Amino acid sequence: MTMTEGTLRPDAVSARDGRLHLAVRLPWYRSLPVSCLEEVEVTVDGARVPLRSVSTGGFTGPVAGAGGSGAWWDLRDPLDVALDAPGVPGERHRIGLGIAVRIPYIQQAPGVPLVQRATVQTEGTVR
Amino acid sequence: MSDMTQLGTTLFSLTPLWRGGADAVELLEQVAAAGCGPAVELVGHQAWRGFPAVAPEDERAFRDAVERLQLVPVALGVYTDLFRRPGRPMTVEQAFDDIAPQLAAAARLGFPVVRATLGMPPELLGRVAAEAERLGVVLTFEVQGATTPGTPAVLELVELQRRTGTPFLGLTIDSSLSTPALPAALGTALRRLGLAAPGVTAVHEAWLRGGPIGPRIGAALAVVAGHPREAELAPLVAGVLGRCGRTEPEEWGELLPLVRHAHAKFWDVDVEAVRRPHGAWLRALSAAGYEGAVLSEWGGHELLERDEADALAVSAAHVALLSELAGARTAVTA
Repeated sequence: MTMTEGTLRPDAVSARDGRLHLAVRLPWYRSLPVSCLEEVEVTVDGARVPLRSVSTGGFTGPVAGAGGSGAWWDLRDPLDVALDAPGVPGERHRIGLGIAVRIPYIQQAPGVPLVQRATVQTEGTVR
Repeated sequence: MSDMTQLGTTLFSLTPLWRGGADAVELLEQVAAAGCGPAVELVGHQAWRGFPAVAPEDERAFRDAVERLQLVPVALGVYTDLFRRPGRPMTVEQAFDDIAPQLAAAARLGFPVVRATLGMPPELLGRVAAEAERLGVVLTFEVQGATTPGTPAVLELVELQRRTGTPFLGLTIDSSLSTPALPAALGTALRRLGLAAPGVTAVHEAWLRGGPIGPRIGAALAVVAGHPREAELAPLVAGVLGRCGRTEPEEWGELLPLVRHAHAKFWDVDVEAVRRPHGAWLRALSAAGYEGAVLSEWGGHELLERDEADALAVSAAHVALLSELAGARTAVTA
């Protein structure tokens, strides 16, 4: 299992109140502070869709608000990504995900923390 | 090897199982059943929700499991998450407050040694070392890959240990210091990300060049520059090349008395690829009088997908190889 593999599991796409949600798994080997979440980008059927919010470990808000959070993204928990896109259970969609997390203890150059990126394409049935 | 030396596995090797949702007790049971013990190392932020605030029931379950399974907790991985906030590193005070509870958790869980990432700022290092001594936990920093005996962070650590004379400060030595060839699994990972065969060859050639690691990684990064998946290829290339060192155990001889924990690192499913360097490290540690544990550490999960390798099976094969090498050593010295 590479860090990318398993980021979107087969049951990752769901619908709540008529809108799509994605369950995203951490693309790293240990839990990270939510404040290390740098980017989340999602496409549905090839078109970029806006995010309503991301939630995990007690944090809910925009990705831009994650940096100030004291919450943790536990390795065992998904990040719930609420999409501003309609969704109905049983539909099939092509999902594209780009995610970046800062690795807070590895510097790729002095003073520059490593950013781990994963891009995943999958097709799933909305739960 | 000394009769005191224990072999075992760091549960970091089982990252695919952790990411799949397994818990600490479940994985300890699997490690014991596969013959991957008795020594075990865990990563705090991997093994327990809320770490370092481990729930009392989780702490009890861990202690009960290691006793029942006759495993020996030898080291806990701890971290200073200096860049937790975007844009600025933690202050020394903040970083101390971050890591001190992790040392306390190690003591509570029964780990005599913690393993931290090399390169802690000197002022922080002094404070954390004093806290480790107060708690009776040995603070080690991992020396791996392209690190050399002359790396400034190694020199700072050695200087502090010699100045204070504390037995609670030392090194985790990792056999990746002596890597004969880039892992075959790296080629698999690069090809999966779409790097064509000439590019994979060029990455290998960059690593094979002479000279310090920085320019060699630079040459390898130039190979993936402009590739559509450069953002994923670049950290992979830099990360793996940086963790494949070319120093020999003899070059570390003077520092071996400071080793308090050891990793035998490997990447490929075919464990025979590391027979020579791992044998050399077992002999060097034995000759230096090392009596700590040597733990199998498989990093291949970073490069291979789940259907390409079974973490527990490759770990079991590697621990068997280490047993054979250590046994051969005992037979020779007996």
